[in-house]
Amino acid sequence: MNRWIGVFGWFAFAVVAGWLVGGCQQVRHQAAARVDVSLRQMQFAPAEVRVHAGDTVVFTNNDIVTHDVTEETAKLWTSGPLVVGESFAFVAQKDVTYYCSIHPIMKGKITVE
Amino acid sequence: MNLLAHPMEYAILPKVTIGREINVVTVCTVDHSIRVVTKIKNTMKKTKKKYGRYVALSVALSLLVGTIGVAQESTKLSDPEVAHVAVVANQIDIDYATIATKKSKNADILKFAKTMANDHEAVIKQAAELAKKLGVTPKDNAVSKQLLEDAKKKQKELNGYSRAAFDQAYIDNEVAYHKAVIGAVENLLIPETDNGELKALLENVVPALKAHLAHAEMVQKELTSKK
Repeated sequence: MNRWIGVFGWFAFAVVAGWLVGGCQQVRHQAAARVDVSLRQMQFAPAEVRVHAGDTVVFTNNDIVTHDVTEETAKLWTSGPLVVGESFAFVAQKDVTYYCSIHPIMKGKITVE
Repeated sequence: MNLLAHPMEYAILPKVTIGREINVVTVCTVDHSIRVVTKIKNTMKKTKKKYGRYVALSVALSLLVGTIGVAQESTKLSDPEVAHVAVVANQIDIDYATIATKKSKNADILKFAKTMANDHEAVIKQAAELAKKLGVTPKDNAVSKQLLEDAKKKQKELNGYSRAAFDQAYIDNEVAYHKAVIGAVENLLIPETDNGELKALLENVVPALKAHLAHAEMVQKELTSKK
């Protein structure tokens, strides 16, 4: 009898643990995350980030000159000028390529998974 | 052809002849510092690749300060002098941008000129703040004087162009100027700087200069393709 109680107990423990772990992972996927991109030495670092839809990408100007972050293809949105130390938050819903319209050689990409 | 300024000086690398009639000699001076000497010669010889680094340094400096043809030029600079050269080099490009703003109607040129003015202004501001923090007064010197003298001639030249010819002349000069400044900052100013913070500022400026060069080349290519 005790043996069966032990087996059932372990089974119940495994089910509960699996539910908790799985549930937490699901919550982690659903919660919007923050991803940082630094503007430094005339580059976006990292130049490419992979995020989930709804995640926030925060761009911070850590360089020595003013930059901006502008959607590249159709100029759909822009941060406007970001002076040194300033940040701009962008909520990613789909893939986007962006650049600095002040220094057009600076380019970056957000991929939504 | 004697390239030494003092009987106690001696060449630490043999004389190298580059391109057309230019001699380059790296010299150990009386106070044991090192300087690179350039001098025009009359005959032509091929470049010796062996001493390319020294030749590159001399050519970068010569392009920047226009000393090709000047008999002897010392490259030894103190930190206040390095700071002054950096400020002057930035100010010169702001002045070129001011001319562009007045003369050009091309949107790409105007945008580029605005970026040059703003970025170089930002660098000057940081250099001034650093100099204040370090208690250093930027010091006028032969290199900064020569820079200003050459810039004056170039400004006169740019002002003399018709509106149609100006854009090309301006962007060509921006490409050449940034190439020369990058060479001078990397090979002359940074190695000559003793103070760590001033050195760090100069090192931080190099990526901006390289981005400016790439941007200028991009505009230059667009102008050429429209012709």
